[in-house]
Amino acid sequence: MKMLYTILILTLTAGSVLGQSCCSGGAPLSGNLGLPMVDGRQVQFSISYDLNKLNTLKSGTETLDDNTRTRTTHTALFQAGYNIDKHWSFEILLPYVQQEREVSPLGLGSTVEITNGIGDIVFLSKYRFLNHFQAGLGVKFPTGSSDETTSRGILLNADMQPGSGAWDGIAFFTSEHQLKSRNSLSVYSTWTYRFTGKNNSYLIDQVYEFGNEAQVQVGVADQFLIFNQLIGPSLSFKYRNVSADINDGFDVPSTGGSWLFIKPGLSYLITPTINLVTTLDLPLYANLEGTQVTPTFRWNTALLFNLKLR
Amino acid sequence: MMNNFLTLFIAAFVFISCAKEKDPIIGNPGLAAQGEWSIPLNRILDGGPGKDGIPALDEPIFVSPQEATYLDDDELVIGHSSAQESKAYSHLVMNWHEIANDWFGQEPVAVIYCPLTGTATGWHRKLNNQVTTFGVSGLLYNANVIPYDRNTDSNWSQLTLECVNGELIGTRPEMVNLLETSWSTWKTFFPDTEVLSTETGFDRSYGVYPYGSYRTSEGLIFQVKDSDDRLHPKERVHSIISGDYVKAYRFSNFPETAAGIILDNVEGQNVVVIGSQTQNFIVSFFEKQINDEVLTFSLPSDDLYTNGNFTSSVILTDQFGNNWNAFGYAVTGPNEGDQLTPTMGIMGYWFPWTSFYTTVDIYGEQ
Repeated sequence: MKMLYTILILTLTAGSVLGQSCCSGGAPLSGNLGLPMVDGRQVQFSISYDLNKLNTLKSGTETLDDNTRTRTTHTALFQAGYNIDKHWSFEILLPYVQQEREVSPLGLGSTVEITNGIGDIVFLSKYRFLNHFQAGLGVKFPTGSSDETTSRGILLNADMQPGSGAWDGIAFFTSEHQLKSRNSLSVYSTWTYRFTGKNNSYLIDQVYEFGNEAQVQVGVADQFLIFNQLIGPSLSFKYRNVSADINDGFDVPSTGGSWLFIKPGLSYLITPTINLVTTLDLPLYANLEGTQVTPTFRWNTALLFNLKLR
Repeated sequence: MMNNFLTLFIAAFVFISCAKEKDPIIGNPGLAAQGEWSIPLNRILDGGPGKDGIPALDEPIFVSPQEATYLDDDELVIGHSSAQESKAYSHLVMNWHEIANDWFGQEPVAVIYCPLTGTATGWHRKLNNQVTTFGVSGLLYNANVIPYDRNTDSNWSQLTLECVNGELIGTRPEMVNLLETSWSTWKTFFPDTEVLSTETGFDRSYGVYPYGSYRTSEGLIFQVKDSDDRLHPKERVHSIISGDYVKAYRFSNFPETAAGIILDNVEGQNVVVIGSQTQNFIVSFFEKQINDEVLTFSLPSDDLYTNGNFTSSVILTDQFGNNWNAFGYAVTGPNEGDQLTPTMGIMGYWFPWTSFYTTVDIYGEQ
């Protein structure tokens, strides 16, 4: 039963709950933020790969017939968590980010710009209560580079940087309930809010702040025994709202908006303590400020390890 | 089974983690402009969309004023007119493309408009005896567009008016005179005009200004080297460039309800500046002599200038009875066909000029 519970929680929390600003490829700093609720002293860690592909040009709610611009963010994430007791736990997330920007105008060849490096590290402390709920507060440290240049030494904008150059605060809340009629079926929800800080040395002498971001995710997950293997499908909906970025006190055009995603997911229990989880984010609806290249899909795959301490 | 998964996953992780640092792939590496810049590298910034991320118009399509239902009368256009044709390029379309590679008669011309500095220039596209096209490099210098020419991949600065990087570094473009005004005024001046169509081959929201409140706010998206708070950063001024000196003329230098003529001296050269607040334009020309006599300009006669507004493109008349239009052509009179020499005058926002030129004066102010 405990194993089933673990799988369930691992599946539920596999999705991303934070991201960068809407116009960016978005280093998923908390691609797996919120490791599972577990009982007792345990060490958890995961390694994951996150691919965020933006190849859809939208103006407001309208999709424009133009796919000449592509933004891709590859992120490798290492995450570790420690459960002190049945209430308190904390976790840390270390990303390595590769940002890519490709422009492929008709008849002109394509141009690709790439940056990569350590991203912003996130620390989150959590408190579990009433068994089904968990609340947390976190900090995102400006450990990632925010002054990357092109190969020709020209400073790139915030969108292409591995880090934001700012301290952010994170609020986190999650709940999970198993159905009495079917123990393996669970309904869950996650809410996060990111209070963004300022990068005071953006493009040498500007002050840049990514928009504050709120996300709500609700979903269901279950497990099935297929060919003697435990498979856990999940389906959730994620709503994300991001305020406009602010540059030197003024809103940055074509940043911010609202998105609704559907997130199918699948987990596979490799061993009782190791789980492979993959999720896909597919946009259902978006209402953007101005015209933006917006997510076409996002794919996240994670290996999650759970080690119980004596 | 588990080992296989682990191996695969760790390999992927290592692959991503060890990705090469800054390894750009240029689609046309043979043309990649490298080397020295004649402007400070630390003032060149990446604008965000990338090279050609803002697509220039290479085959612009024009429609009649009646067909241009997307344009309200008070929308700004940039225009060119000659005896053969008149063409208007609306800000509404140019905001999304910044460059139109076009032809004025037999002359290949690029109309370049930077929405961030609000400046429009016309450049001949024949460089070193070869016709080229210009694209949007995606780079900015002091918040101003850096076009690149596609023959040599050289980068140009719109407001320094020269090539700043690449094979053609130091080359100055041959300028084409443009007029910025409201669509209403342009139609009054040139009723047979054509205007840029929104059928550009690109799917864009042409009715929407893409930069939010930028054109009225005091904020800049990209900072410039020197800020100058003598005027609101986005006040539109007519700037006459003379070497490293700029003199700016404000709409408020002209009467509120009538057109006006200013006779001035810019770096030792006499100029005539004509402007109208109500008809939303300022143009300028160098002093001209005919038969060894300096032309004395006045506003045209009643049928050409009524209730403070010009009723055609004629904006000046002289002592010989010549009527001169907004592009400086004598359209009627004894010297019909003659032309006033336009100054290097560019309409645009106030804020960039002090970052590009050493001395910037405002007409009427010490």
